[in-house]
Amino acid sequence: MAKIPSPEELMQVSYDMPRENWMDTKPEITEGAVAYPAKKVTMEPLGMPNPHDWNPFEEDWHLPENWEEIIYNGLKERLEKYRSLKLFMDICVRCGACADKCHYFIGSGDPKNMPVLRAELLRSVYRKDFTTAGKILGKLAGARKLDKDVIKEWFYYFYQCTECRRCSLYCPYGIDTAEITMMARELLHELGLGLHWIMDPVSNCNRTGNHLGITPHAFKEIVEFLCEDIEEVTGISINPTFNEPGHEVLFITPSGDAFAEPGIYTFMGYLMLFEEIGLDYTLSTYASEGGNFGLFTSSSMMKKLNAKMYAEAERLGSKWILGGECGHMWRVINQYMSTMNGPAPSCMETPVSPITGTVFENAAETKMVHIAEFTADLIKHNKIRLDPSRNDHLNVTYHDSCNPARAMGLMDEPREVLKAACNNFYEMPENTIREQTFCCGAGSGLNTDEIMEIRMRGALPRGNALRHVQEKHGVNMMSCVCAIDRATLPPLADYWAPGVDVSGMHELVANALVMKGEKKRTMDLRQEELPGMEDE
Amino acid sequence: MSMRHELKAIFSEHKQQITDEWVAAIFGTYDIDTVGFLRTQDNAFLNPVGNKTKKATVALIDALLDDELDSDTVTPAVNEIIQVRAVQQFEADQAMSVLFVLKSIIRKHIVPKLSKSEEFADLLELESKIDSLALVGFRIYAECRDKIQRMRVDEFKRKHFQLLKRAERILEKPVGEPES
Repeated sequence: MAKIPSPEELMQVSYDMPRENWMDTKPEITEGAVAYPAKKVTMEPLGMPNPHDWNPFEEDWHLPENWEEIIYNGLKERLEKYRSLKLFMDICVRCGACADKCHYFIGSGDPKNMPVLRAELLRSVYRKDFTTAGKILGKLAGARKLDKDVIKEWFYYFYQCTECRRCSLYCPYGIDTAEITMMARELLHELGLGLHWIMDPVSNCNRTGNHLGITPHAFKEIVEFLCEDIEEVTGISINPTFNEPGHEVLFITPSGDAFAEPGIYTFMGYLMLFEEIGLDYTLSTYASEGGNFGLFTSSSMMKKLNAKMYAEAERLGSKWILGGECGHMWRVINQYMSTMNGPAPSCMETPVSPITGTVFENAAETKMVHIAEFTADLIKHNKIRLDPSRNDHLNVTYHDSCNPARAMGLMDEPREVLKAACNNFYEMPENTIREQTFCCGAGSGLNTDEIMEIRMRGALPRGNALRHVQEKHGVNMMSCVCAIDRATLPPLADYWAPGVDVSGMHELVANALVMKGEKKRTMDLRQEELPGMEDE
Repeated sequence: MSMRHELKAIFSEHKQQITDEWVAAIFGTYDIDTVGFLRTQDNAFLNPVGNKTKKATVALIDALLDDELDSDTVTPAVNEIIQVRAVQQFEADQAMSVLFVLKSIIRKHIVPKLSKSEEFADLLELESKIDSLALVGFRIYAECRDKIQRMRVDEFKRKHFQLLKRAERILEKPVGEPES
């Protein structure tokens, strides 16, 4: 007979100190606890090391025979290559300032999601092999021997970090936890362990330039659909050029904007804005993806996937690149691109807005401008006409996407743009926005549906702040400048603040944009009737 | 039938202790290294789980003291507790157990003070109210789990919005409809 537990027994409340040290507790790897693994057929053509088929829910992950040696050498190589990693391994004093800053910790209550402890999973192995104290004193010095359970624990917890860097903001030493996660993921990749949700887009990007593997003719066709919808709403016919040399600007945005709802309305917004100001630009069907899941894989993959941006700018003779609303794309561009794939091709120049004459000195090195800066500049110089009353049915808030906020300091421009395009704008609580913004819960390649519960835990802090403004101000639209957000925030809102919709910034701009020769707007870009402006 | 005066008085007298113990029991379902954080971080935006739990338990204990359970008070409060637990690493019974455990906590404080059989009858009635809370919790838990499944489907559709549209144009019929 198996006794059915009482509520008290189910709750397993115990205030005794745990019998086991954290090093000895193991995660339970069950369905829903980790995302699905990358397949051998995906990994092999990419030249990823030790490609093999494996199942995280089985005991044996089929690691290569010399897996310990691979990890040791991999870690050694990275410690020599990146002084930052060596520092991050050595200088943490475990003060705990980061401990309660992680959205996954806050939402799950799992102590190994405290950034300090998550990093300790790698640091303990580092101490054992690379520090004298750890070699001699072992556990007393916070060192532990690498075994297969440690690898499983890494896979479990380093894919419960979205590399959002909120914890880094509070670290008195400035330890960049995202880079620790990146290194741990690189080491896992050395053993052939990766996520399907990350490696499939990487593989698609490698072949066709974008995450869904859309070929050039299909990409063009899909953008043309959007132009048809624009004509339906505005009466204006737009015919963007594709792969056409000799234009001043190359426009690159995450492919989610072209393919996925609600990103497509933002893409329509870009096209309408460019048409209205007469921007001399072209789209590339090869650099058809601003996102770069290589960032979540390895530095070499990130470099490879990023290379198409400058390659296309050179091939098409562009003077500068205008980049769309994306999050991690800008971490790659702002922090790695110029040293990784730079210098920019000689045809490129420091970006100057052809409309306002503003020189984007901040982009002198990368030659690439974020569209929020570009549009904010247009608005500041009064170069576009906006009728914000068209967005009056919306009470808008702004979610600072982690990377634009913390990796490039883009915080005021989107707000200036939104306030010009919408009359009703409300901020979420101070400790959840700008530098302190909370992650959507599914960045860094974790927005896959098999871990929806994990995502919703991570989404709780953001969702909770959103519900607060929903209740207080009647907020019904959360705007953002990130394509991953546009994919991950709808379920976040659905679960934690039902009734709030999600949009990109340029969707709202384009709804308000008064275009030369347009017909009376009765619909928004989603082809839903604009309240008060319906056809009589 | 409403709770008689005597039981209400005893319950009111122990309200604070009962609430505190209930909160402690709920926090106790998390790892001991997390409990301190849940207990001490008072900012609602930095510690949503802790703050939701504290607020909801107070609201529910008050609701139990009312003659009738008011759905407008009870449902959102139970939601605050259960919605979180429905996505955390708890089995369904573990997630729900935090509502049932309130019975034991109340008994611990109230039973020693009871002397008359009418008062015991009142206690049973109070426990029935907790059963009603649990039923609300059960409904919310089920709704949360259903929603998670629906969100998976919705997400897939959003992600492939344009591709489905293109496929429909090529096929000249809605995707998924059988060949005629």
